[in-house]
Amino acid sequence: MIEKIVTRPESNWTKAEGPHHHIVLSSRIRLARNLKELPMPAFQNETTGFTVLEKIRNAAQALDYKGGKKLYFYRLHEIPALEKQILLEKHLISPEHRQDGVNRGLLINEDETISIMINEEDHLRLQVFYPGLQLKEAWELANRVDDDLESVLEYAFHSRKGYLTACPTNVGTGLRASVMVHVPALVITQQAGNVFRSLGQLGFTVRGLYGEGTEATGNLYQISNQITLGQTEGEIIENLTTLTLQIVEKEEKARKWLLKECPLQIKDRAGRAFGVLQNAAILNSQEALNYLSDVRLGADLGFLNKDLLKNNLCELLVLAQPAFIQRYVGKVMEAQERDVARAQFFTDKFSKRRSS
Amino acid sequence: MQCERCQKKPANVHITQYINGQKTEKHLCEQCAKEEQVSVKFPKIPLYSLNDLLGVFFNEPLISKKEVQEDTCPNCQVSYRQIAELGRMGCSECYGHFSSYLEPALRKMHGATIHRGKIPQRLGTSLRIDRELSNLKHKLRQAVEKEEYEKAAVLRDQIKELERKNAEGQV
Repeated sequence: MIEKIVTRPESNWTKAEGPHHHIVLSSRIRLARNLKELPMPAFQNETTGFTVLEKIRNAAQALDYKGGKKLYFYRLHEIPALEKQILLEKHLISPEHRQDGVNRGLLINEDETISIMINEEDHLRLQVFYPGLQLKEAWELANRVDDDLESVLEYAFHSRKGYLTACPTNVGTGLRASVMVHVPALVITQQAGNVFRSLGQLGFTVRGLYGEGTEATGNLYQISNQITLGQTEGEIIENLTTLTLQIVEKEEKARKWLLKECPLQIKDRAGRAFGVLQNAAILNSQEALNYLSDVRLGADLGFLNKDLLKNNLCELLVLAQPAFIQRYVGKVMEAQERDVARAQFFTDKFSKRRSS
Repeated sequence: MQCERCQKKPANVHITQYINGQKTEKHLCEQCAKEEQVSVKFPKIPLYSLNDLLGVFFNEPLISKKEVQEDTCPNCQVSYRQIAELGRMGCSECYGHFSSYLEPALRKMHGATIHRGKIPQRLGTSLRIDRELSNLKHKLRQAVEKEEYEKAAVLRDQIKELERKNAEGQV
């Protein structure tokens, strides 16, 4: 299964589906859970780490999910470095989980909707990933899987503190709900800063595409809740959904304004970006992401052929990443070589599409 | 400008570093730069050092006391000092053992100290009824604040009904 996952750019979250997918690329729910009394990963030794790994692996087997929901188990240290990097690029594991450690595990289903990291920061981190704005749907599935796991595992739970997590910033619901949004018009009109600052005041965090400490490349931002204690899961999800809808509305307004006030500049920007993607001979991943963002905006606003790449933006985002391009070409490459391969890839992709 | 290391070749690698606000400059020739293994990249910060920020939450005046620092969890033997340093709890039982020190930290992080979300099925019905009651009461307070008195009346009746059933052991 892992072979399939690391060789295809598509994932459940990259589908151009779900409400508002033209702006909200994906919705994600993450639940942090720990087993009662066993030391948390930061304090575990090899034996206690292994106990946790086995308990969770067995629990997942006991669930006996069939068909598309079937969960496949992997130990992280048995996965080659490049493939781990791809899992990270597809947001299926975290940067922390890629680090050394023999008892790190991953459970994942075929279409990559459900993934469970074992012995990351917490004993268990369940993630459900949907395309578009579908936080509620993602929560419902995560909640069901969580209920099922809970019937066979003894979670650490305290009646007043809720689910006990390694880091007190996650205690309570252990829930992190997040959306990935593409807001080029808010960035161009210099409104993004204001919008995101006010989100911070409301207890939400805004980060770049690859989480903590990463820059916002390609006008892509991740927004997630900060508070996990004192609010119900329903409230957290409803609040984030409402906020996301407001961002969608503001982005759409900004796009309309751009279309009215400076259509030529937008057309120029999209056309130039498309030209670069088609013809560049050296292209780094950050550039690729920025140009893809411009092309997508151009396509969304009708300046470029709509079916040109709209459906593929998320997949192209994955494909533009350093590890994935190496996998795509089939060999390990240095940065410069990767930039050449990436440029070639986009040339092929876009010239083929235009002629067809 | 000459290379400050070999004092022979021209310096063509210029490095300015800011470490904790201290500025240092170095001017080297290409060869000396190679020999000194100068990397133009930023030094890699280990992941956990970011958690030092979290340590702020744990550093209540109380916690600087030695007996608090050396207090260890009876289940996992991790001390409060280790927890505050890493920003990570030792095990589930640490929450109970260190609860008096943790309470202010949780309030700072979340603005609340009581969980209102999901409860595991296996924990039986009584806890869940308590929870439902406290949720209804929370909603009632909100309704009263917003002056939605009709809604408040409905909620009040629901609370009464649930309390009555609970007392009669019907649920």
